[in-house]
Amino acid sequence: MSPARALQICCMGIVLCTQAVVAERQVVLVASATSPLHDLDSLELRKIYLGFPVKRDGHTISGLRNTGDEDLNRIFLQAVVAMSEKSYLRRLLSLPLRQGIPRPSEYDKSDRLLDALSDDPYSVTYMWKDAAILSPDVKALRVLWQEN
Amino acid sequence: MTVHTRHPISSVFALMVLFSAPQARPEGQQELLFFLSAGPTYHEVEPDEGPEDYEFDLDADILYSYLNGRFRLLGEYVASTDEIELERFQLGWQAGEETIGWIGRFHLPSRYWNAIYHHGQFLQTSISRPFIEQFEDDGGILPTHSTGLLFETAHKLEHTADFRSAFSLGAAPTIDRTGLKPFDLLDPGSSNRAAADMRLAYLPDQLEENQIGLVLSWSDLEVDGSHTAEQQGLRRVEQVSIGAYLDWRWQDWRFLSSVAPVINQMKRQGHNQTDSFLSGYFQAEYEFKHDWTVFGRLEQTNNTNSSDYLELFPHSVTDRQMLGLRFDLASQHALSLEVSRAQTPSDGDFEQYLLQWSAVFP
Repeated sequence: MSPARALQICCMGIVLCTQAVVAERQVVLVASATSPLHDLDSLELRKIYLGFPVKRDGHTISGLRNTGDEDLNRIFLQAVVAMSEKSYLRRLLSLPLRQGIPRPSEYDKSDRLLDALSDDPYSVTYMWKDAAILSPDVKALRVLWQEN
Repeated sequence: MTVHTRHPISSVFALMVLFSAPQARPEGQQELLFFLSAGPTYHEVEPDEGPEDYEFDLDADILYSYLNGRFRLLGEYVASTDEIELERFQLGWQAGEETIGWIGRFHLPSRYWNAIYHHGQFLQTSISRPFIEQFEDDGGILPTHSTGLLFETAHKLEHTADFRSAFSLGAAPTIDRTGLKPFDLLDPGSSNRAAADMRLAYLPDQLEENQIGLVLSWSDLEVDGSHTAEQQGLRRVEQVSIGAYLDWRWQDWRFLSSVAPVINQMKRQGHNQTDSFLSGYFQAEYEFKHDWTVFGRLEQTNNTNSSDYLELFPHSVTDRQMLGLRFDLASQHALSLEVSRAQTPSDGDFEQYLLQWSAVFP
């Protein structure tokens, strides 16, 4: 095999591998690895992030916001709450104003987010699948979004 | 600004630092919010050709909420160029998944506008409030605050629909020399009588905010220092209001409307008299280019000249045609402009121009 042919095959391999990685770019719903939570459907998840009570085993599930990544936040708004940022901000402000319920906590640092998640087994958040795989303290409950 | 307002407003910033960090959940969650607004108002009073009237308003609404298991606490304190008042202070207990009981001082559920915006000026699109939604100390002619018990429930209907209700029983305002005066937790009076209030709402989608509803309000208003009321020989007013409201969003549009007939049993020395008027508003809002909203509101009240009850509030705006524009900037700030033609029983028609910056922190 000529060096040029070998280089061409190598390049094609890199491109194919890159495409495979990109195709697997996913956002997943996660809970603490020790959490008794198994699954939450889309409606329940939307309710959690809009401040409605969703319970498991008598415990109210809380949704933690992962605000450290702009793309992740955009996907959350689109795939989970189905609202623009402006509309969601207003809905969240209504929680303490109308019902005395504090807004979901926001975390822009992943270590603090993971600490908060492990503090409360009935809390959930969302993150890139790659980040979830790298963290032994969390378990993925379901895929929320997948890049086409 | 008076000396009294300086301390609360400076305290706001110290509190912002204390409460800005997210709170750990198992020990309870809390939140402190600051709704700030400021801007000038210009009234061109006619037909008396009186002096042009400028005002500059600065308002800080401090909202604190705490949630721990079934227990909730909600406090709302307003410090402004006009007043300092503990607007709401409620202790709540969640009895069921969709039922909560409150004790304390609250906004009456029958005033829908107040039930969704309270004093959060940033959240309401317009600068001004409709006549029938005005707070007592802003010239409001219907009770908006009460102190007592409040129950809120929700019942799931078929598919995604929801039926929500709110009932309250508590102390009614009195009629003093400046207008209606609600029961003040920090300065309790003894002449407050009873008020009962109710709102029933139907939401076709429980996760959305579109709704239509019915409201019912009954208040026993004791006269306590109103010179005009004493001249009328008025001792107290039994007031009943039954109304309907709508809050609907459709694509980039939003419509807010309410209509309420108000019947007043004027209890005078020697004889009683029934007095009534009908008041309503319709507000339309259209959002364009995401950050801009154009809005307008029509308000009308009938029987303004023949109502003895409305005579007690000669400077309240009973009719208004208003147009406005709002620009949302930096996600938590807004600039709004409002131009209206308003009418009060004593001042007649006049034009009003309002400009306002509003924001929420953090």
